[in-house]
Amino acid sequence: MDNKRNNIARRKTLTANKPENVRQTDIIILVEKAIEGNVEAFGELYGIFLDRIYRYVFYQVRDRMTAEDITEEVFIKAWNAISSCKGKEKTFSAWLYRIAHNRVIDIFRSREKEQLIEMDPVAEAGSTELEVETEIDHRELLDSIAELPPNQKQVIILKYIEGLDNREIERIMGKKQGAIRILQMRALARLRERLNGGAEEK
Amino acid sequence: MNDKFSRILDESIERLIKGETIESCLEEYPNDREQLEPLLNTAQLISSIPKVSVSEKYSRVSKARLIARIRRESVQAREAETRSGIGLFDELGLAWHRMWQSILGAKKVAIPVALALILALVLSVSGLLNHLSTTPALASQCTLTILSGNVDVQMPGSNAEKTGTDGMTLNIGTRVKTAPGSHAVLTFFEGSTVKLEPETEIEIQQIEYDNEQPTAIVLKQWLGRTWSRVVKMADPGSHYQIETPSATAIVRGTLFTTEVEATGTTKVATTEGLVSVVAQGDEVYLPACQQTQVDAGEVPSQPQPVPISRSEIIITFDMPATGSVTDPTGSSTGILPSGFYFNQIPESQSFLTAEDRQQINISEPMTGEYIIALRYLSEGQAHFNILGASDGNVVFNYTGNWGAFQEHGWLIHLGIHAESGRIISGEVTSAEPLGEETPEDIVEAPLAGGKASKIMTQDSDTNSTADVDKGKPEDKGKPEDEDNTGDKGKPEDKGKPEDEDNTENKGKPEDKGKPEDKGKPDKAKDENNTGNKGKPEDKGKPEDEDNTGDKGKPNKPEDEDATGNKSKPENKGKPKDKDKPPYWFS
Repeated sequence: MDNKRNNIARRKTLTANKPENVRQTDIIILVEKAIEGNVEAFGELYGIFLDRIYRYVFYQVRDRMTAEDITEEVFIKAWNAISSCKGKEKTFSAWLYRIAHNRVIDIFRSREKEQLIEMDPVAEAGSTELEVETEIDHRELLDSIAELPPNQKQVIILKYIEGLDNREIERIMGKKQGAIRILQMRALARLRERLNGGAEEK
Repeated sequence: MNDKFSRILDESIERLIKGETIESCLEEYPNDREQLEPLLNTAQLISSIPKVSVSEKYSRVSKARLIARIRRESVQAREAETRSGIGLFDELGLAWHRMWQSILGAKKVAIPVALALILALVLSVSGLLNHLSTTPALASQCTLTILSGNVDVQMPGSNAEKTGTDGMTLNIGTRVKTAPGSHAVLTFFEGSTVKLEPETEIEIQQIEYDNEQPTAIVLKQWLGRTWSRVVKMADPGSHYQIETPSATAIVRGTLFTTEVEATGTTKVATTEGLVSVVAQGDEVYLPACQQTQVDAGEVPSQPQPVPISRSEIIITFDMPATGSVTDPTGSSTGILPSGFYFNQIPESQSFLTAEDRQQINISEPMTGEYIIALRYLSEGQAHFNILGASDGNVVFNYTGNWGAFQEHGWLIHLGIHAESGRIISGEVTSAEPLGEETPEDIVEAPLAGGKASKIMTQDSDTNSTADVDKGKPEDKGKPEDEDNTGDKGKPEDKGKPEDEDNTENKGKPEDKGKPEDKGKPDKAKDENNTGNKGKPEDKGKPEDEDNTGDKGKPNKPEDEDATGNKSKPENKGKPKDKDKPPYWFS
């Protein structure tokens, strides 16, 4: 069994560590190893989920450096609390997203509760080319997403940016699918309204 | 109704995700078409947002950093557990109490306003414990650059102030004070810089590094305003800490201003990155464009947006040019062809746009002359744009194409008249080929060896003291580590497409040549904002109205004095076509 686990860990090092490329069973094994204190296994999990967590954070804070900082803190917190995943290895991904969400909220708690940073041209300065391009081409849309109520924004980012299905979103948000569908509908309606409003103003 | 429609919407979205068209979804629900269509369009629009992701390089390096941090913290946690008598939190509390008392004590004696800027590169709880339990090697690696005016320094153990000199090395305990109207920069061995505005007083309290890795830099700001560019190190948990008698601010690699008023009030504002300010047990976070104020003995005010600049100069230019802007005080922001990034102008930014253009933003420019230096990484023509805007209106806009050979460049002089933060007028007054004298006054501080070497000065080294490192050619052109990866200019990393450093010069040659050509090209003025005033000559055959005497003379070796501070190695750029002047403008 140990050999099998080691092989899995080694294989992940050599292949693209994207969640979509990794089997759920492999993730579970890595989580089990991490719970036992295996730092390397946790490093593999980091490689698998880094992109997703970074992206999830980035589209909320919209600043590269801040997103990197928060992402790192998310994984540190995850490591420190990894024992709480015992018996819940299957939901590691959702658990990680929840930490990220809470961390983002923590970071900006000193501002209005759960109201995250709004886009500002200066905040782009440290962004990568793709990020800058994203901001330039989709600024109005991203601004509108940023102004959504937190729950609606979370659904939109998880579904359309992160590409998660409703079941995964259900696990992350701890809400039933019906509630998620309603949140999605309201978010889309609100976005449509804002974008139309912006178009009319122009 | 809501539930029913939300289900229809969700099902339609799932079908879209699977590759169906909006029309086919609408056909399925003709009764809901009117309500459904705009929402599906919106969903499709959101799905079109490009997905950002971290680079392979960042992923690799940050993973190693994370694992190193976890291991170190685990070891330290075990050490803390095995210590007898004092538990982890007791010790922390004790250390904190001691620190607090020392600050309060100092305040009672002589510090109406004190700000300690602790650049604690190995920090967090574990970092603090580590710091308390070990004795890192001490070094005095801070270089003073006097940009303009006069600066007084008070050496440790001395009560007398003496006139500071440009390029001198400052030791721990040295106080630096800028006179009215004077500007100076302190450059630390790991690359961080602190720009001192007029009438600012600062003391170097601690500079530590261990095994060539920085561990802490501690400054105490007594009065005035500073603009800090803190290099984020690769060290796990690396961040910085600002302390005052009433507050602690944790700073990540970032750009931020710190202002200490005579009343004891401290103001911190972030331009890039994230700063955390703690006072009286309350903590506020300052992401980019947020500020807070801490009165002595009070909690930090809730973060407020930094007021939007009333005016701004935005300069962009294409490859193959890189460049910088120097303001009337002598402060510069930009990048050298070597990839060396510097930022001395408060609230300025320099970055690379999606179109691979360098952009420099100068917020609320002052009256006086700004000098834009363009340096060419290779022979070619670079489109440039210089725009000034006030209160949302364009005040001036120059655009055109400038060409030069590799390792040559241009100096563009921009006269600005500003009042109350607004640009009244702006004009490109002249442009000339970049000569031996460069406008920037910057110090490169390569981490390796912990020595700072002056690589560019406006004047010769007559002001330098014996303490100044006399130039290390092998250190020249090392790019800074702006992408937090710890790769300090490793040659093999240059030009890798995955590099996230937005200011990095990818695979560009070093800045090794300053042409001697002093010929005057056409002015770049374009008052009508129509674009090129110059003749749209063939790019390969630049016009040369004023530079005729300089043709074919771009290759003279520059100062070969290996001991000098000037970065003027032999000009290696040899134009391919000797009939072609080294510069052209269209």
